Amino acid sequence: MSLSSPFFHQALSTSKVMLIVCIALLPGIIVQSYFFSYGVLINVFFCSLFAIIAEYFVLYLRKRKPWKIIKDNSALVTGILMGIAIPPTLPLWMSFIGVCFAIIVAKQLYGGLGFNPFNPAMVGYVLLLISFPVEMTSWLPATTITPNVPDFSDSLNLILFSQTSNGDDVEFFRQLADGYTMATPLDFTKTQFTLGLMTSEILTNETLLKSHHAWHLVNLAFLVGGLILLFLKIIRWHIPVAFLSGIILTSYLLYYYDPNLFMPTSFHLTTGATMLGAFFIATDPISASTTPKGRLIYGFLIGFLIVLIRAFGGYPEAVGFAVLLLNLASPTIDHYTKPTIYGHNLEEHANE
Amino acid sequence: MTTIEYNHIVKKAQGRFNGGIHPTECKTLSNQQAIQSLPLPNFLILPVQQNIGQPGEIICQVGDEVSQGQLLVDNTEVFGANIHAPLAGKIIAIDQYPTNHPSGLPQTCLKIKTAKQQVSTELFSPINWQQVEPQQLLERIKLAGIVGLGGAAFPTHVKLAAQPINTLIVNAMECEPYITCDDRLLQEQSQQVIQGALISAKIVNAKEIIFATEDNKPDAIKQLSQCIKQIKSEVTIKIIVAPTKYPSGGEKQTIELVTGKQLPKGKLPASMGLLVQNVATLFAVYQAVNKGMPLTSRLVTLTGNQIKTPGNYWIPFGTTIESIMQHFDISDFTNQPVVMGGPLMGQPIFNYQAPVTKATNCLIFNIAATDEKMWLTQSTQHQPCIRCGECDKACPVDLLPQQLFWFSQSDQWDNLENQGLFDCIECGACAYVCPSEIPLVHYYRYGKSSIKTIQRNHEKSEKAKKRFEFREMRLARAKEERALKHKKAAEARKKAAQDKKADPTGKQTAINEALARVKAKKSAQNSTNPQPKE
Amino acid sequence: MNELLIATATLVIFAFLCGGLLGFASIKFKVDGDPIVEQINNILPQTQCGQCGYPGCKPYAEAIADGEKINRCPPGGEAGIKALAELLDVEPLELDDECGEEAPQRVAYIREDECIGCTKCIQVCPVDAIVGAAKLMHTVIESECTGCDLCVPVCPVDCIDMPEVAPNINEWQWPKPYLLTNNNEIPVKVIS
Repeated sequence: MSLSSPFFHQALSTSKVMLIVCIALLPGIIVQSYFFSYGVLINVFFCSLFAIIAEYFVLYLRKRKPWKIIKDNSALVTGILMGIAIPPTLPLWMSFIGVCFAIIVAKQLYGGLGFNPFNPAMVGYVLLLISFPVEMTSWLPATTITPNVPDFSDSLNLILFSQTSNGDDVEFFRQLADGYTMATPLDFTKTQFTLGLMTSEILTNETLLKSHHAWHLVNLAFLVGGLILLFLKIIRWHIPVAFLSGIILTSYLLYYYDPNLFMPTSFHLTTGATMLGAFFIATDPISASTTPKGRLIYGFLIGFLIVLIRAFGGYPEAVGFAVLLLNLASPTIDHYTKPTIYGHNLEEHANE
Repeated sequence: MTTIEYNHIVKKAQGRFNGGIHPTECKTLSNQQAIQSLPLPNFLILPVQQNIGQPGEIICQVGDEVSQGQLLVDNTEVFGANIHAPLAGKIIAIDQYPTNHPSGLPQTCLKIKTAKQQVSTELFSPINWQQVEPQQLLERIKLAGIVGLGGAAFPTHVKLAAQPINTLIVNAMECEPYITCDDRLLQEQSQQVIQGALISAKIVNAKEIIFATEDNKPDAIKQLSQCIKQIKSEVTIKIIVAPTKYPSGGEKQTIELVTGKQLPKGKLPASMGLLVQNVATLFAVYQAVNKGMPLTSRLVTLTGNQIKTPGNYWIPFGTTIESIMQHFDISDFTNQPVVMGGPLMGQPIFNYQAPVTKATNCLIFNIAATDEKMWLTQSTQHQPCIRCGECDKACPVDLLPQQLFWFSQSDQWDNLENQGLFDCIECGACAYVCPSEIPLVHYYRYGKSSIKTIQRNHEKSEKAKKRFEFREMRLARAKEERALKHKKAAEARKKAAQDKKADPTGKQTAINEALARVKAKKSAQNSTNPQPKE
Repeated sequence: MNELLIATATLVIFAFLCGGLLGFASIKFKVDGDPIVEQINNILPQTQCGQCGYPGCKPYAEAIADGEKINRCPPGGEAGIKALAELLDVEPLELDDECGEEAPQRVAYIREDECIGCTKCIQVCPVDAIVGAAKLMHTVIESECTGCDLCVPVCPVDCIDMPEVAPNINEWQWPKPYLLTNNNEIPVKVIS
């Protein structure tokens, strides 16, 4: 084949982009494993491993050059994101199913990197969430508020065999000193609302505040990672900004409408997977909208849906659902938000 | 380092365009040396067609001795441009030779063995441009075979015929890396370029001349502004300096930088009262008018890490790349593409027999070091598009290159056109930033040429269909006519047969005919003797 | 029991009403689009070569509209079959090798000094691309020739060649960049 211009290139490769995303996830992973023990690290490790194995397997079946393609690091990113998103004690076979589904069905069956209409990590996550709702919502309490902190071997045993060598199961570690079983702040508030409590009462709950503090810091760490990506120009500002403003505006309106029935904006911004979603999940360019205006709409609607689903939906967390729904809508958004090409729409002023 | 002084002549650009990139410039390689010439090449391979549009008529034969500047190809087509002998010599062949076309297909060329003794002759008499009619100047430019030397090779006399023009923009942006021929020409021949601009301005009756350039050419700007100060003319001359950004030298981008307005889709710059000309073209205009010299050579930047003395050289058209390589003693350059033009929009030349033509502004002889990432060595391998959007950020015409790529690789021609494929200027900014190293521009060219082929085939099949239908109709009509003729003949036969039957000997017919004659005679008599009235 | 009858009757009546409405609408609001034969004919390459077994593209288009297979046009090639399949919403088929193979564009050329002026080729040319008269030399109007081959067998002195059209610089097409990863194809096994 003959070469064709241009012959110049700036040295930044897709593999490097993916690797930088992985590195930018590190602060979040570190803080999350500080608050939720070794399980996070173990999950991230296994999920990445599974992702790469699954990718290799399918590429082998598709008669591609697996090692060459795996070097683009996209499977690694999917694996790490899955590892972060699932609870730190999830049985290994479940994460195996989730990751394999994400890589094989959501990514490779559509044609591999660049051709997947949905965010693979979120497809895997949502599959697990729907199939195993109990296990997927069994988050541990933050290490700062519980007397029963699992050590490394406990975590490994819980993940591999669902119980430690002492015979303790996940429920044991989820119990607080007062015998309460701890849920994530989102789960907790959801339960409290169904019990008829008001926002002000929920917000004064000691356990919630402490647990929320841990999630604050986790979100902050992901925000830092996201800002690194923005600074390095790996991602563009459109989606995160629109995403966060979608959350702020929607939650503010709801809270303004009835401060007793809805959680305040600050709560939504700093809990669950908000920052992870804003900077690492919604910004997955393959499944996102690709026009400048479209990115704004796409991000905003994800934020909007997240608050709606958190407030009215059956599941406590909503990032996965919201992202997948908007993945579905992004071709339509792209179609209607094409930028004006140079010199177009000027015909009527041509003879001024 | 010279700094740019802004004053009433030198001004900052008010407009800006979206997108654009900042590649490494590599201009200092070649813009530090004064313009030089190369020794005479042994032979020239001169393509018969060096302009867009139709080829002209060859008015010489094999064996002819030609003098420098002699007209060899007379082109009277609308978008035609004449071709003159670049050097004196003898035509030894008229044949198909490889040229710089991307297809590598050969084109008709004249092969000229250059004479050892070159006598410079004036083909035309010099004109004092201030004292003649614009029409005469235009005629001279047409005769001299001048085309746009920025790369498009559009005949200049066609461009200068546009009216009414208010502003002549001299495109001295030269935004592509490595190329410095316009920069150098402005530094050394600014007086002549300004004269050329004034001649063009007189032809189109422009009131204003604007030199548009980038802020990476302070020496040229200084030289130019000094010359402008000395000139007394009714036409106002200004220099507008834009920040260095590729591709500010694109015609549409230059217009937006200078005027702050976009050129409406499908319109020519003349619709905004603008005319954009390249620096080298204006120099050629000056040469043709003031010196009486047709366009037979041009300034070419020879650069790249394989040339020991990079710089700008006057090179006669038809000089082969091989002879240039021999002069510079470039030996270990095999199977490497010589880049004709800049690294972002140039052509790769693998066949070193290809000649320098009117559209050649730069030749880069470069071998990328293995650890160097700047030069792409292979465009066959690329990773999949992840729709990161770097390309739409870089696109100077606000397209969505990732979508164009998507539709082009899946051959969706309608969608491709809807995304604005034909607005693409092929500047290569998108492929430059693409982290997956996708040869995006190649995909657009593939898409553009595929759509054109489909259109051409469709036109062809429409024509064949019409001709087939016409033939069917013709055959049907012929058949019908034949049938009618047969029917008539048959009827006639039948009637004759019937008549024969009723009157076998034909006696009755003779009697009837006689009676009729008598009757006719009587009625004739009646009409000549009208009956008297009461 | 009674309720069952009422329900059935209601549904039946409703079904008839709707059916009637639809039938009425299909007559009243009939779309006078391009007749299907015209659309098919527009896709066919109009070489009029008859390789499909029909005397021209239009007759083949009519035959396709009546249910003839879409894979009998070698000049249209794979792309043509694909376009037809899309238009008619049927499965694309392999080109029928009975009809011939997809070949590069050719154009007829008469070796004029050998021509005896029999006019046979003029009569068979489907697009009137051959000019000449009886006992006079014939020649092909190159721009009108579709390369259908029909004139070759009828020539009594075999003076017609069908050279391939030489690549033309103005009609040259950029090749498709080779996609290394071939990611746009998901391997599919055809089960027949």
